[in-house]
Amino acid sequence: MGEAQIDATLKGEEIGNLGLIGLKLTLRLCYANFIVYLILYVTGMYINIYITGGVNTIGISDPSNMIHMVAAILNFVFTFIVMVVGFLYAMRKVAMFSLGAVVCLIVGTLGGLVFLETGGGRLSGAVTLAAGWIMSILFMLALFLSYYATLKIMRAIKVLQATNRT
Amino acid sequence: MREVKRVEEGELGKTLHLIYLFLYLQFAFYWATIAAGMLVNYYYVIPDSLQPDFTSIFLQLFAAPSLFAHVAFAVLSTSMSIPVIVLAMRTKLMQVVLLHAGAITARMVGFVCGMLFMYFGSSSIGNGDLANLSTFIMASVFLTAVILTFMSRIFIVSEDVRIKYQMPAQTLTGRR
Repeated sequence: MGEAQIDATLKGEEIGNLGLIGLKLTLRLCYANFIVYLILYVTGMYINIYITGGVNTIGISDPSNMIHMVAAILNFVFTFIVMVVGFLYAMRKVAMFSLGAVVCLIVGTLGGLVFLETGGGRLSGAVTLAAGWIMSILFMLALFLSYYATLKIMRAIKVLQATNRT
Repeated sequence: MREVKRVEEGELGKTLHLIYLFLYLQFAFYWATIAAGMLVNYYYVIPDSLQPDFTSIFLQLFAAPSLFAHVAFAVLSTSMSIPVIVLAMRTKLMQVVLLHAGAITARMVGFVCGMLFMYFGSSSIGNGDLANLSTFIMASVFLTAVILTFMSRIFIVSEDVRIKYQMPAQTLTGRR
């Protein structure tokens, strides 16, 4: 494939101007983000099944809740950094997917706080349940959106490597 | 010779696009499964009338709208792996085939655990610990399936880039 042909094909790609090393670093950050998502999912599942199952409630200072919230904060920080990288280095899709994830994380966190403040249990009322539901689905949506942003970064790396560019 | 290669490229590209389409659908159904699953989690209570036998538990899946939606979306999301496997076999992406086969297996285990949750949660059995464990396993294997299908996309992206940027170069090199 000639240089001109490669350039023409590259026009359809979103490789940005971060460069290969920067993209690889961002990809590592995305992987770290997924590990944190995993911790978030497992702690959420543990709380849901073993703490708030039945009539029990959970408070904000519960150790498992603290781990869950720290994981959520880390997710927010990592996703926010990826979003900024996307905006600064001309990777629109990465930025938009990450922005969606950031919004989901913010609204999901608000849902989680409402869940805690209104009783923190299954029998605490309609608002608590609705807040819990919103928290759960928005965090999972954030995971999916972060995943798509990661894929875009991964694709940019593969394209740069395939065309021997840095 | 070059024309044949171009047709192959085109066919591969089309097949990969189809795989992308099914994966988009799969992820949408995954999310719908979670949304309905959370409705089950917060709003569904196993009725006292539930008998600890297969027929009664199976019919219960159709008794509550949230539970039915959860199972229906779970089946839909899992079934999206079948066309992906077929298409991946056509493009010889064995990693994708194995990852999706693994995802289907994980979802099967999840389905059994879901049924076991109902069984242990029924009033005549009433074993809370095992019911909790079943739910925990169900949620864990669901996540495993999501991770496996997420990973499959990595190989598809790699193949897509290879076709676009490396295959034409290989074709030209071959001609020389």
